[in-house]
Amino acid sequence: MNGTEKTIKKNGFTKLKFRKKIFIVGMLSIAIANFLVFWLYVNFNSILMGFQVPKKSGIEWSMENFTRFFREVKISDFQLGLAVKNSILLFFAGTIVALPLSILFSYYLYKQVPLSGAFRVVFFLPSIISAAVLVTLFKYIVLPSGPLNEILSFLSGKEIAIEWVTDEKYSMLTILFYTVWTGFGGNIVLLTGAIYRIPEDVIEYGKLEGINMTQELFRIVVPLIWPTLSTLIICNTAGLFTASGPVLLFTEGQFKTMTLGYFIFDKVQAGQYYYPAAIGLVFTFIGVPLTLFIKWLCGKIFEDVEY
Amino acid sequence: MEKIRWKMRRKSERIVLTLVFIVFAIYAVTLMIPFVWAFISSLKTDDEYYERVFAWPRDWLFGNYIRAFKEFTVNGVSFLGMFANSLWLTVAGTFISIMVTSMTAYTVAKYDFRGNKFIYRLAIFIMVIPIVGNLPAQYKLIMDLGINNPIGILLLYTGGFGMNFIILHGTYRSISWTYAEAAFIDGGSDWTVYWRIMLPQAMPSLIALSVLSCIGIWNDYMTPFLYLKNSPTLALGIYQFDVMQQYRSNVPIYYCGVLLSMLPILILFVCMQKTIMTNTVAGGLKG
Repeated sequence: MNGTEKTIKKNGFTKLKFRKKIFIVGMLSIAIANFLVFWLYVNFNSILMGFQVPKKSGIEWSMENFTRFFREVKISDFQLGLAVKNSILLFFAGTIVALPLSILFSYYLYKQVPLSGAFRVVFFLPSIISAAVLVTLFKYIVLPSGPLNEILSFLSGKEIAIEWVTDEKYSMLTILFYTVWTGFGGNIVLLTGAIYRIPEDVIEYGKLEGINMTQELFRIVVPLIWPTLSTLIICNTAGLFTASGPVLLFTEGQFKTMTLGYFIFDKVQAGQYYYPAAIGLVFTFIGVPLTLFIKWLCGKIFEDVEY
Repeated sequence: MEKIRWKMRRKSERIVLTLVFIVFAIYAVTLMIPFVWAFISSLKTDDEYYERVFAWPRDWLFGNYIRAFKEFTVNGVSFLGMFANSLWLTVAGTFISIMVTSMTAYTVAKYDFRGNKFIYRLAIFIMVIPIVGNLPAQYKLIMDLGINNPIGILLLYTGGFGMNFIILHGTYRSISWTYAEAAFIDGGSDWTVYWRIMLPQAMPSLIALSVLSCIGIWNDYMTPFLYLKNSPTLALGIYQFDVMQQYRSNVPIYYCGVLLSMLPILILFVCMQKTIMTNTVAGGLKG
């Protein structure tokens, strides 16, 4: 091989390598640009905003937002204290109540309860229909003069006119019920997907050992779908302080139904940016370690399995 | 899984499954009731709706649906206008979001370059780390940039990470590289391999995720509420109309609009439900 050939080859190779680099950069550029602007810049600015207070003379740096927060969060009847409490309640409704029920639902769908195909589609309905639609219909049904109270009156034999959405005693309960009632769909799709991927032999082997359905569920199915399950748990934990729930659609935070996510949303709507940014910062400080702890814990409960 | 015959099951199993069937049936009925109720109510007159709550409509006023097209307006935007806004945001938003995610996931899954592992970890990090309250900063940025319009807002959908990234990363990982090598030997470029060989093989996952994304964007009322007040989508329209309802009401017409608004997504779902159900598999979050 003489010198010229060598250079051509070498150049060709570098050209190829260069082209590959261009390709990689090109393919990643949009996502990275989006990340830099809408994630990194936004979050960085969000931290700064927590320490800023708008004054007549302009923006001033101060700890005022934080002192205000710690003053207000202690007042339990105040919006903020309520918001924290309700956010935790919503988390429990979604994770402690709806998730285990979703596992049971998915398992029995897998066990081919009669009409399981049709059930699967119906159960998924709340996930494909806009919450705006569902909440609206739900609200009309639970109106004081609506069908629910009519049925309750008929069953109890006396006039019942409970204000399910607008009475402080019931409003948060109604929202929690709604969250659980509509909370199965998305979980069921992911969980049945995971259960159907369990190799047939594993289930067969269990059957030969003579285990019953409960044992099958807890000893085989749950450990084998654990990666999917823990993903759901981790995502729920991560959403603990950010999820606003269907509060905007139900009550706009009135009647003691404020949640943290909606509180911040509401403030932004009212043109206040700096105080909610500080509140966010405080809860990020609580939420991040909490989520990482739950992630670590989920990893400890069952070993992740590959099959 | 094969279908197991009912008679071949153990007796205890049959009892449990029968009980479960009853619970499922009750839950399914409660999910259906609001829609059946809304449908029946949508065919009544407004007076009838209040006076005869549980009765069938006296006359089945299917004409209500045509009236809804004319009367269901929010801030001067007609039903068809909101429909067009929803359609635009859904189709364009989904296309952009799935394309960007697919490109990102493919490159990270198949190319070995410096920073590759870092990007994958970053994607998981972004998903798992709950940043609370960056909404004010985001809102401010979008207003400052002036992208609070139906075209500019599409920039929000150019994110390449998140759950879809994890799913597509897995999809591309599982596709064999052999065809790609053959194409490279034949002189194909990286672009050709991606477009002609890899994308078609990932199609089932891409379609499933696209359908889910369509459902998500069509139903999203928060983003339009914050940024698209002047061009409301149907999801936002329903909410705003509900707020306005308190002042001048014709509930049956409203129900017509509500039911019409969910029709496109329902049709999409019914047509694609097999693809969605078999192609959305989320594994663990490692890394």
